[in-house]
Amino acid sequence: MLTRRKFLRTSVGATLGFWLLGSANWAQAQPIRVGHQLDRTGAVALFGKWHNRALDAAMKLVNERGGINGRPVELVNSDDCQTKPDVGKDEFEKLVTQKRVDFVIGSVFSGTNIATAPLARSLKTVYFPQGIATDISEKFGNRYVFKSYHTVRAAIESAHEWVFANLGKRFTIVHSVIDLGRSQAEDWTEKIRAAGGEAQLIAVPFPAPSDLFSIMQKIDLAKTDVLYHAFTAVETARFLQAAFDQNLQSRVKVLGLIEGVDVLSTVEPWLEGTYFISGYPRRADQVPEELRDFDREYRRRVGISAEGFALDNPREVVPIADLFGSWQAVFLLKQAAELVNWRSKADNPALIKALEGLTMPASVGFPQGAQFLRAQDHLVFHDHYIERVENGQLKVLARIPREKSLYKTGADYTKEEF
Amino acid sequence: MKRLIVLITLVSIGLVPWLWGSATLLGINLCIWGLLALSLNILYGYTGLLSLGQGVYFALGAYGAAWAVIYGNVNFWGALGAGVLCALGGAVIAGWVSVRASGFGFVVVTLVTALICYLMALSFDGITGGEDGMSFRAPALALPGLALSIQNLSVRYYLALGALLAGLGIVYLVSKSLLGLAFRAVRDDEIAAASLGYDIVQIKLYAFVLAGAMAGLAGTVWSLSKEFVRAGLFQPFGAFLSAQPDPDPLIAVLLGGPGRLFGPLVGTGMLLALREFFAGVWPQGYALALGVVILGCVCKLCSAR
Amino acid sequence: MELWALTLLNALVWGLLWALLALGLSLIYGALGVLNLAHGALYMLGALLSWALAPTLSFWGSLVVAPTIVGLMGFGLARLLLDTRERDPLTSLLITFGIMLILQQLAAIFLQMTTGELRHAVAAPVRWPIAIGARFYEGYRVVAALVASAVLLGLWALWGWTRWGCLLRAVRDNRELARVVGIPVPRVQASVFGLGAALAGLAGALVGPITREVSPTMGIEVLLVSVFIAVAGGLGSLGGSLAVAFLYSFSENLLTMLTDPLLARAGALLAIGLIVLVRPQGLGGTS
Repeated sequence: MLTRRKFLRTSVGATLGFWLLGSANWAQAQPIRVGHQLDRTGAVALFGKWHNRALDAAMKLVNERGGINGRPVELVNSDDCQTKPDVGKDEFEKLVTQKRVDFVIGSVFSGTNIATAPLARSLKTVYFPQGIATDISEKFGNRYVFKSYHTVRAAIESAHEWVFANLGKRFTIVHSVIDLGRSQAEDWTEKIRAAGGEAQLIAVPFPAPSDLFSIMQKIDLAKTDVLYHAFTAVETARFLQAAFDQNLQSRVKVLGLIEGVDVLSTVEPWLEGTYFISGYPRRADQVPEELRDFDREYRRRVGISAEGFALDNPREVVPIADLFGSWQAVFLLKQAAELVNWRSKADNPALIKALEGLTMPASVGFPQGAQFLRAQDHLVFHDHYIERVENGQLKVLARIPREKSLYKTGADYTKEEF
Repeated sequence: MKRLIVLITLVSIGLVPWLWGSATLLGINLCIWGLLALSLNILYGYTGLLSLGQGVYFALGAYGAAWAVIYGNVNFWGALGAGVLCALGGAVIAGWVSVRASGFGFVVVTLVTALICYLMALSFDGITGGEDGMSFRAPALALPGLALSIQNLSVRYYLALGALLAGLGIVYLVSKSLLGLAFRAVRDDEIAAASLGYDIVQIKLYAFVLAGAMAGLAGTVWSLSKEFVRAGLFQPFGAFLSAQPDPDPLIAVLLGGPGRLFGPLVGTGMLLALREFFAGVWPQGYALALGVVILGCVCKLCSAR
Repeated sequence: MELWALTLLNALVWGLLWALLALGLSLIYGALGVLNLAHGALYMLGALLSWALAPTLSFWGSLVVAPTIVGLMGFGLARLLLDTRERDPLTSLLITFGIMLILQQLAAIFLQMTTGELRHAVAAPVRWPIAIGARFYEGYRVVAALVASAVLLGLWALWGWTRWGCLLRAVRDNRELARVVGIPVPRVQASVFGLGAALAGLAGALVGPITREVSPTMGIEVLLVSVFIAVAGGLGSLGGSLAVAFLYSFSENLLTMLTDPLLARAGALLAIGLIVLVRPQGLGGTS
């Protein structure tokens, strides 16, 4: 006989069962939310916009291929981070605590990355910062922070042998005093001293003074083979123009990271003959043969022409190499999350262990070629290129395999608790 | 009835982190920038001194606390004290020079001070972190019997709220005191005040130092709750260099009504609301609207006189 | 040796440009009793207009048209907002502050709409490198300095030898008396504001191709320095502004050779601060 008690018990049990079942189903259909710490204004606004497009394109591709563990991926943008560390940090907190994202792709501004890293740890959220200052993987990183694209130190490690052999060992380094510039100056100085060369350092305040004339006067041409510049994009343009007024481009070799001119057209006379260290060729016909299929797919999906311009605005230069950090972060997540069958943030320790030491074959997800993620400092290693502007176009002079950029790291995040 | 409404408001302000979690960050900002505007109100609203460099003492407070934590490894209250002391010291030195200038001279001297401090902060980036800024780990807020982690959002909220309440209390007490009367006497007519035997320079200096220390408290709370400082805090007009500037204390004071106790707070609230409104729709629109608001306020202010 | 020669030449050029800016401020203060915080924004507007107009008018055409537009705008603004009403100088200060914010944001919106960026590069209108030893000096800077000095000379003549200059001095020295003898004070004041704005606009148009970029916030740094120069030179005094402009420019440029550019600027500002403390009315001012 059905007593009242039995009835109650069954009905409660059934409801609970259905509810559990339903919520399990619901959890499976629910999208994985990936936040983006987006700078809409300030020094890196141009980069922020393109990183956002790359993320959008990457997630579309992932969703077309069945999502991650069968769940779709969803991009959640933060409000404007304004290229200011304190604002970016607040926005990160809002993303995680209010917009309930599972992962965050970071700002392009190193200052914001460094300010945010401790918060990623205390909120137990895996964070992919996109700035390239070395400190984010060496000094200020932690177990939850992963760099999906090179840092300054990896780029310099990979390029220094070629540069010393082909351009010279007597450097004048003109650098901005922000992390981006200072870390380049420090790392180059160390390499140059070790190789028996000479390095003169000229520090330029940030923001740079409106007239760079007196700074140009400090460059001692008699002691310089290589004039190395380390600025943010807009300031690089002004520096190279000021150098051109002094006719320096024809008297010394001018070298810098491609990050400095990533959004500039190379037809300017003041870029002619200058050298760059880059993570990827800007022009499609310079991409190595075996990567061209991936390259075509990558450019088509993000909206980049074969010459490196935006498809919807043929005058806008796309920071093509820089975007890999964001693009690849999505595929890193997919690969690792599917390895450990990630379901919620509770599975983060397993996910982090899977990411540490992960190797990635060349594919559309990793169009830069095969690469791997070093476990100790959570940094991805990929090939580098030396490019030079010839007749207004960037031309690859050398491809440097990723093994060359493997510097010795002082960090070991694998020993940290979760 | 009225008492009930006040009570309900107070209780709900106290319970924001539980009742309305998504507003907590906004509430923290309101408290901190409101406190800064409150400090400027002492100078401009009560004493009639227009300073365009009040941000310097905010920045000094922020850096004082950060340095104390980084180099001195002090506890929470030590950091708080160091920040306020740092701002207070700066205000005594700068104030001693500035209050001797009058009218535009005062405006210019406060601006020069701010600009020189900003350039120095950029130049000595070894200790200030320059435009990149510096992160640090804020010590836990130690109260008898418990230690509260500053990483906790509600702890930060109550810290900021506490600082704001302290600021409001001080301004209220001062405005009711003889000193407050002296401030207003100087504002309304310097010559008349001097003829009554007030030492004008000294009274101005008191106002300057009091405002500086209070701005320093705001800066200290800001840096301890963000666990971050940057040289840009020193920059005069720095607030207007970005698309969504921080609420400028001067505009907040003007909007809320100079010389009123809650005026700066209301002004800051309006600015923050305006900013939140524009943030989603049209970030650039905020500063434009701000300019129009200033012109509107000032022109209305004049025709009223 | 050539380094010092180049540095001195550059200091001379910048001294003239600073003088142009500080003089505008000084004139406006003299006639209206207003410290014009919108001066930097007007300077920015000059640079922006000349950059935008250069493709259609040629650079030299825009050098005439851009300051004229800025000047007319200044005249209009002064008639609208800073008109006759005698008011608290601090209130006027805030009005110019509001104007600054609005102009700056309008410029930002304009730049964003036309180019999609907030900063834009400015091409040099001419490229005449002048060889000095093994180094080069940009010929355009010398041209800019010549234009600036011609305008300064013209201003001096206007000030000392024309009826308008006479009216202006009358308004500066005693506004009440000027009104009593029948001088149209508000119109003179507005025209002075217009002239000052045009000077700022001209400075902006000239400096754009030197600093090689326009941005909505380019005026802020310039505003602060020119306010200090104008105050230290004595508000309302032409000779004082000129002298302090040169003092500032030479000390900044020479100090940059010895130390880092930030400390050099702080040092130059300190020199100005000392002048203000020792002589509160400014170098050329009368107490």
